[in-house]
Amino acid sequence: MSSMAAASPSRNKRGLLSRIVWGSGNDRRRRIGESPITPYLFILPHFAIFSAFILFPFFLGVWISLHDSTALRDGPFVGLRWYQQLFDPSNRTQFPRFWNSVWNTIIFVIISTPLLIGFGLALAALLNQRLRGRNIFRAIYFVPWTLSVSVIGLTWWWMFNGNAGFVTMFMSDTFGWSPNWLATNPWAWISILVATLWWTIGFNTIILLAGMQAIAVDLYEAASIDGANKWQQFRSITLPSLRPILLLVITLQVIASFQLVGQPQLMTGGGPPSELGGETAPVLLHVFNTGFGGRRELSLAAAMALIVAAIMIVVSIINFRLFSSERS
Amino acid sequence: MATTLGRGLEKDRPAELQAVGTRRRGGVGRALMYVLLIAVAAFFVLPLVVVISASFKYAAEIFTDPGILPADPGFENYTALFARAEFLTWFRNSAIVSTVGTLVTLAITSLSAYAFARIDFPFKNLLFGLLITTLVLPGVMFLVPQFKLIADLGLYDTLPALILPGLAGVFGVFFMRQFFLGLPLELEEAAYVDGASRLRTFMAVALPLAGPALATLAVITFLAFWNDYLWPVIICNDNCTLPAGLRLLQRQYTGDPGLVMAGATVAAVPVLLLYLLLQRYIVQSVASSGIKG
Amino acid sequence: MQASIFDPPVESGRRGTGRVRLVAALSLFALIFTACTGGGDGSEAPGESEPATSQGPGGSGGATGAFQPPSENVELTLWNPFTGPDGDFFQQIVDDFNSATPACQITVETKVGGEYAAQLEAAASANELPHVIAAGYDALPGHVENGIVVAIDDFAEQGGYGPDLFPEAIWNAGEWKGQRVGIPIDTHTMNLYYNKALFEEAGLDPESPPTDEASFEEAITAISENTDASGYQVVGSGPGGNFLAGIQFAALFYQGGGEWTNEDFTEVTFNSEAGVQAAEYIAHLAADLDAPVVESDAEINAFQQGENGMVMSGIWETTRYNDALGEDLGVAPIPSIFGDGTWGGSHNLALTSAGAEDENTKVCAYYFMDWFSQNSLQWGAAGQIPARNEVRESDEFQNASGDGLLPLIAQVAPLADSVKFLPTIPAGGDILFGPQGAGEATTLVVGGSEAQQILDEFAAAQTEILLQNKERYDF
Repeated sequence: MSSMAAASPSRNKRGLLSRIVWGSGNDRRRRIGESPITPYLFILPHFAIFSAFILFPFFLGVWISLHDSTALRDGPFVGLRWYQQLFDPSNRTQFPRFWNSVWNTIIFVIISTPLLIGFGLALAALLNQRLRGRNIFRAIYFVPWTLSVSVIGLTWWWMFNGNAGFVTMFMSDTFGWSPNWLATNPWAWISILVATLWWTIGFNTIILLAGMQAIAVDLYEAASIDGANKWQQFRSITLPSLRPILLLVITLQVIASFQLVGQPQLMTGGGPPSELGGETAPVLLHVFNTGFGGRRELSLAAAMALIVAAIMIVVSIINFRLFSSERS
Repeated sequence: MATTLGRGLEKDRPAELQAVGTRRRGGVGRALMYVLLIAVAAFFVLPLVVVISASFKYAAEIFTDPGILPADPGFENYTALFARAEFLTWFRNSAIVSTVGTLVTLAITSLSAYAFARIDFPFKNLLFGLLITTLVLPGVMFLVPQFKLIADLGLYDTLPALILPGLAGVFGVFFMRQFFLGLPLELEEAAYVDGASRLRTFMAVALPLAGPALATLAVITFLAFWNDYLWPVIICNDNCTLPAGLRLLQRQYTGDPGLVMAGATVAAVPVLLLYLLLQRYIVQSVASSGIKG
Repeated sequence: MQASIFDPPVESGRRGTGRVRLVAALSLFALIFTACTGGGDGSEAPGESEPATSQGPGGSGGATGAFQPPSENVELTLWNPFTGPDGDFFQQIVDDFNSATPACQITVETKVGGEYAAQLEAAASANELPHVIAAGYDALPGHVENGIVVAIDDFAEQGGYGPDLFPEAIWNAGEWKGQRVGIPIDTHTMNLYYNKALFEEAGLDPESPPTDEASFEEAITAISENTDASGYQVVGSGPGGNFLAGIQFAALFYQGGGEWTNEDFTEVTFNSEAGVQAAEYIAHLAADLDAPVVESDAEINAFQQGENGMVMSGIWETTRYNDALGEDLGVAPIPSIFGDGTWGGSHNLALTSAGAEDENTKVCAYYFMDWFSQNSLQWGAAGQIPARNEVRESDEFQNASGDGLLPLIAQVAPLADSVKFLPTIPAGGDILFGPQGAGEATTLVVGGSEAQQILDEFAAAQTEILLQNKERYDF
């Protein structure tokens, strides 16, 4: 699917350096008389902005994490000081709070991902039936995904409001009791989970549904002739056929869950306080509060962000390996 | 637009008949499915109804009148909201940032993607590889350095600060390159034979054909800019967009949820309207972009 | 992918007896609380009362002549964090100044408190700083280190400003590394507000508010048993929780003689006995006296609606309480649980690096700062206790009467002389209000944690931060 794969072995007699510079050389896409800088002009606008706002910040982030910077000053070089604080168990300020938030995040990812994928699959399977008006339903399920997390967060902040929120009142009326949803655990986490489900399931459903609809009907007909019931068909035809899409959806979901921030920020503010920090504070919220909250420790936040990024890349790789391999 | 997964499965029947399962299903089974569909739909719709209803309850009413339908609905929250000049500013900023951001993104990514797809030049693979590599980098690691960069440039709390980092995204280049690679070469070769420059070929031949892909990218990019939350929260103060503004609204009016709900409603309405008009298209755009990704 | 004040000085902790103590204890000088941004956030009361109409500049009236208006016309911007009703009073004073001084015109911008430091930082990076700022004393050292605020020793010299013009602690709070960086304009204490009507209903004397632990607890019990209202509510959570619990802690901490750090800033010491007993007492109110534990600002709202008998709030809430309860509002110093003392803050006026750039701007700024200080009687009407001694000692202030807040403020003003502050170091306020600060510790103790253990843990954490800042800023 890309030109990079186009090289045929017999033609690659040129050296490595030449191949890096010129590619496989198979393309006939150089035109006679064309200025050699034309392609660079084409890519320049985007590449310039890319270099300024992605490439350069990549290195700047590392640099900031090795200094004691604020928005107003570059600050002195402090080496690995911030990393030391974050990895030193005897540190009382950064170590416990940072890793607590990492732990919160990991728990959230582990619990939310199966639910988000599972419900997405279930809804997609439901929508895949030949039912009337399913496009309308599909459209409804997708609505929350088009909204900003700020609207999502505020919606569920109000739904779970301890005084007059819909959920609270409903539970009081039905069961005579309601937990203080946003101010105590595990209810605070549950409310964040519900808000996330409401927000994201639509996206998963749409993608999985598109994948399901591309599966040839013949496979199912053959299977039902062979006597397989619906569940067996689902397990042996639908799921395997969906594997690449499932992999994509799961990967996207894990990455998104790791970067959970809007819902807790707006609904619980990081959650009931505890000795180790906010109980519903995920790592990105902690990074945000550190760097842009009261204390504005920019360099510390930069170091934290890099550690989190490293963790996420490792998790993505593990995730890719896990779901790429054969599943029985 | 591409509808297959590129795995060689042919769609020789209309989508309707490709549904999983037998054609004849027990009445109870079907009824149950409808019940499920409706219940789930209620789950998705109910919170929005609650929010809108809350926005019509003024001040203390919101606590004393918890029903779904307000007993004494009024527009006070909305008048209070629009009396605040900031809210209109947020709205305006969201509109400007999203529109400008989308248009510029379309322009620069299609230019870049065309070059990567159609032209051979030194270091092409290296450069493209560099772009793709950054796709796996989580956004969190860019927040702090982008902030410092913007601050050092003196652009804190400005519209360029809200637009520029979003333009650097690589997904668009990847997406459009996929599309251009799929175009048959003949048309462009014909233009070349006619003596058209690369730029003319691009603009006269490739771009017009790219309509659907550009539209898809436009939808995704516009939504991304409009809904972007964390970066505006970091970088704005007086010049916020709607999502960041809503957070400020909540912080200032925690005791007045009705007003906050009015803000949320107004923020959601443009997207919902857009969605109402283009719903089928938006859903297909997202689905196809996801599949391609 | 898709995808948050600072502290007042503290008084000595000697227990007095009865009414005599009232007068003596009144000398608590409220700390100027810049936290108009903290707990006062999100509490924009509808229908704010109008600023008291002034007959003209109050206090000692007119400039002493040490400063002159600029020779050319100058326009200045001033930022303040007064988002509440006191902001209107501030504007009124500035309007008076503007009409009296055509050559020097001031434009005021009010910034939402929690973001105040961030906004100043952002403005500095964009070279758009205002010329003068009103800010809490505790924020000034950090601003000086960041180059936002500059030293104004020449102002102090020229105008004869010194420790004799202000209560000592308040004057000292505007100093950093031996330089004068702020001119105090006010202080604001945390006081006891009580509902006289509820007192009567509960069988208590509405003219004698509780003054010690026994009478305080007796009042709580009486109100909660004999009326529908609660006697007192304890803040244990919420976005303003760290702040409101913090000032509550600080007041009792000061009463017990507590110190935030040791002398050379190498150790944070709020886990001392004074701290433990302060936190435990607050938890005791919730646990043993059935004082409901509520979210931040809920206790304020409940008091306004007549559902809470007593509340300890910053003085900046006075306007709102006055509007809600009118004649039923009683104001008094907080009860002396462990001794005399309360929390307070202090606002200062400071000159920014932008204001210092141009000579004319600086002249205008100095003239304004001096003028404001002299005319701070009206600032008292806003609900702040004027810092300047001669303003508080003036006849106009002492004999104030009428509808406005001035009489109420005059009542508590004598407390001003015994205020204690947080350490005036960069990020000094975080020791109380920040993460792992004493305020957060208090919310945890109210929630059931063991006081000594939590305070030890957090004090150790704060010590780490203190040592790091000490090295960073070299103090």
